[in-house]
Amino acid sequence: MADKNESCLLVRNVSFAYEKKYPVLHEISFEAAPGETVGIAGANGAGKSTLLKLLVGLETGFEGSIEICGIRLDKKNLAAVRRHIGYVFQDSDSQLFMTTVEEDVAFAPLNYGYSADETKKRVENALRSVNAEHLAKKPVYRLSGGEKRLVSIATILSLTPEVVLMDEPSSGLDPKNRRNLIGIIRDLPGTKLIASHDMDLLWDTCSRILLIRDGRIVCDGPADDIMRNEELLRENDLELPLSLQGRR
Amino acid sequence: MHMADALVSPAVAGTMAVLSGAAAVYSVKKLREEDDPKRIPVMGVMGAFVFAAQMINFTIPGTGSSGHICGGFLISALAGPYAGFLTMIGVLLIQCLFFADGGLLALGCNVWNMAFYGCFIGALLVWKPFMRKGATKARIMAASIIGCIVTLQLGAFSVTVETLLSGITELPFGVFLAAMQPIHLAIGLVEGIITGAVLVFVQDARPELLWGVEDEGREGRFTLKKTLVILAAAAAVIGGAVSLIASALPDGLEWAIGRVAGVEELEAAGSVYESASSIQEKLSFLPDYAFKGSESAAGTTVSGIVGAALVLALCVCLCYILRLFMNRRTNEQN
Amino acid sequence: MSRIEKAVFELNSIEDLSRQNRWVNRLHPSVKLLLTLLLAVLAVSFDKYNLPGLLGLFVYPLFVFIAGGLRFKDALRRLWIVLPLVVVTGITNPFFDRQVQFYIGNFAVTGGMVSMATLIVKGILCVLGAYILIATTPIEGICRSLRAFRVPKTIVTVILLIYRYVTVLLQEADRVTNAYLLRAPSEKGIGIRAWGPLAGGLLLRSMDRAQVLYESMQLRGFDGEFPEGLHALFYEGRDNRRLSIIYFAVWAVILVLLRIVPVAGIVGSVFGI
Repeated sequence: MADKNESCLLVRNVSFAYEKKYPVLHEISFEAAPGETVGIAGANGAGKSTLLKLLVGLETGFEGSIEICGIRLDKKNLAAVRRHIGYVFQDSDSQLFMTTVEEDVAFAPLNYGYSADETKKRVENALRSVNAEHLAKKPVYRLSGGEKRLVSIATILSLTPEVVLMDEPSSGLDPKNRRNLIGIIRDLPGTKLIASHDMDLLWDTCSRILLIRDGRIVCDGPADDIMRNEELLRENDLELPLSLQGRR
Repeated sequence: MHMADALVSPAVAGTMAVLSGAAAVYSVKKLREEDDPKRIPVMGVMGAFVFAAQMINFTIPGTGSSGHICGGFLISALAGPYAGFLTMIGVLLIQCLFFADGGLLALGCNVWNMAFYGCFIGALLVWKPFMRKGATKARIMAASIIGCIVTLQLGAFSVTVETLLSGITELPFGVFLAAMQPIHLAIGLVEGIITGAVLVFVQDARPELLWGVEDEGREGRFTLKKTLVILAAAAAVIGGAVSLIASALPDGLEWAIGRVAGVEELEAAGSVYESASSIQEKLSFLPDYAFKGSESAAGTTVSGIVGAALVLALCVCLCYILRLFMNRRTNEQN
Repeated sequence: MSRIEKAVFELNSIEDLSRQNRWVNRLHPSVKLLLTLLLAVLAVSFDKYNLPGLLGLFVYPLFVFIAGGLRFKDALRRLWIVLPLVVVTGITNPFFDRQVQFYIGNFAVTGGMVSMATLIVKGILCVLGAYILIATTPIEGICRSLRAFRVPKTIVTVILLIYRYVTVLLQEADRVTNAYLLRAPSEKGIGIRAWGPLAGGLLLRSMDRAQVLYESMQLRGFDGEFPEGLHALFYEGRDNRRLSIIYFAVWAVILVLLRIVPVAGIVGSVFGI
């Protein structure tokens, strides 16, 4: 676990409810070190997506505190926080709203005031880091599902964030695109938080796992320990990664 | 109801483009005042929704044909008239460019005939007053039906006037109008019910999405009563003007032009004059309802029957073709 | 193919054409937009009996069809949409305007026939004019040029967003209607009980999508307006400016001349017809 000073993501006693009667998250606390890849595992409705939304300030009004790269998250400094943290949505079609790939990737850098030249450079770099340079001029709606997912990630990378959050990155991808995505996630720099119930994806990309059930962290530890603990997984409505099932 | 480029003269197209443009500029200003950053994504996605939803065929019970939603009214009931109007401009532009529904030149006309009436008249004068005391299923349905009928009637009337002013058709104004208005009464009714059904569903599931629904007690600018009075007055004025023009058109217009120009007979010059003189020409097809050279009563009768049959056949054909056309095509028309 | 699928297909095929790498595609979009408008204005301004003069205007669409590698077959589909409307409006002309203009053999051609034909030809010209614009110019180009003509940014942004999501929602609409029709094999459309839920469900999902879209924009620094330079960013230097100006000047002159000078008549008289 990372030293407190080093961590670029610090979550302390965070509780949240959309409606007071129905709390979604209870007393969530964890931190992540620079470069660490953390998987957030949990069944449907466990609170994974809500947690990610809190971290980027899409949902406010939570209790506790969240710090990203030393900046405490509150309503006033949302823009500053979002400069450091990127969020890849589950539905790529809702994330990519421009008509061509390059314009979509350029949206964030231009909004954050980068010059035209710098923006172009960033677009190029971002697309290269997901092996999608050849898609730059393509109209977004002619991309395949796998291509859309890669471009979604590129739109986030164009700001070179220190922290990247991904919500179900492998959903809807065929095996080949999924494998490709896993390779790309592994190569991405920075701290990564991946929320998924695709245990194989987490097994292949994460060194550490937070297991969430009913809005509480039930377990926080090395992926190696948690992923092999069939009983623990079953208790939380999850299953062993397929790649481990044969070797039991 | 989309007008094609070929059906408008440059003068009519230009005038309507200026009118629609002014409404657009006003809407942009109003929207900026509201300053809701979420407007842009909502407008974009809702525009695409209207586009797609207008392609869905809704079967009208008891008939073989189908109806569609009324896009301008629906979107304004959700996003308000200003956002609705600007969105419909986008929808109409994409329809004309990519699907040849309407045309670039006639865009001003189409925006006015469909978006302006649907969004401003439909949402501000009908929807809002109905929602002043909160939304109920009955009120939503009533507002939707009245709103769609009113906007389609106004739209059809504008199409007729614009076509006539453009000097395109030889059809007498009255006949054209008599073909357009009743068809659009029926279409308006059907579209109103379908659109109402969608809005009722929205009210059931997510009432906060409906625009302009006020809590009881707050005084709106227009009351329901006032609105009905205004609408009735407008209908009376329009109806009166229409019947006046329709009945007196050849003579009346000719007389007016003759007075303005100071001559009895005019050479065809501008489009207005041309249409007036062509109307006169066409009436001489069966002069005095008698065959040329025949003074007999038989001649009058024959010509009367032929004339009536012709007009009837024409109306029927026109209705049929128009309906077929309205049904078959996407009917994006609001 | 359902009508919705056809629409998606049509969109895709135009999209592909517009992004071809031919010189016509690289002309400045404003030039093509203005020429298309000019063509339409000139076409509709022709007298209702001046069919020969009108036919002269076809040179411009013909030229772009050939230079842009477009196929008439693709454009024909769009004519089917416009022609009924034009024909309905013009069909009464032969009945009302029966003055004989000339004879073809023994067949008397009346003014009404000529004016109806003229109207139809005008319709065809305008449709082709719009087609050659959209089939050689991507939507971003058209929007960039709308911005240049001072169309408010809100409208331009919304046009682009609608265009972006039209296909997504068309496909969704196709799925829900197909899902309905597969379970109601004897029906041709959506039955009355499903009117509200089917379209309303689509609407609510669209609203949810708009919400996610807004969140995604917010996270990337959006605060109500798109950054101004975005649409121009990747196009600078891609248009052939000098060629565009020459192209516009040449075609504007040709088209206006064709409107003023009765070329068809002159050519006819040269050959002694």
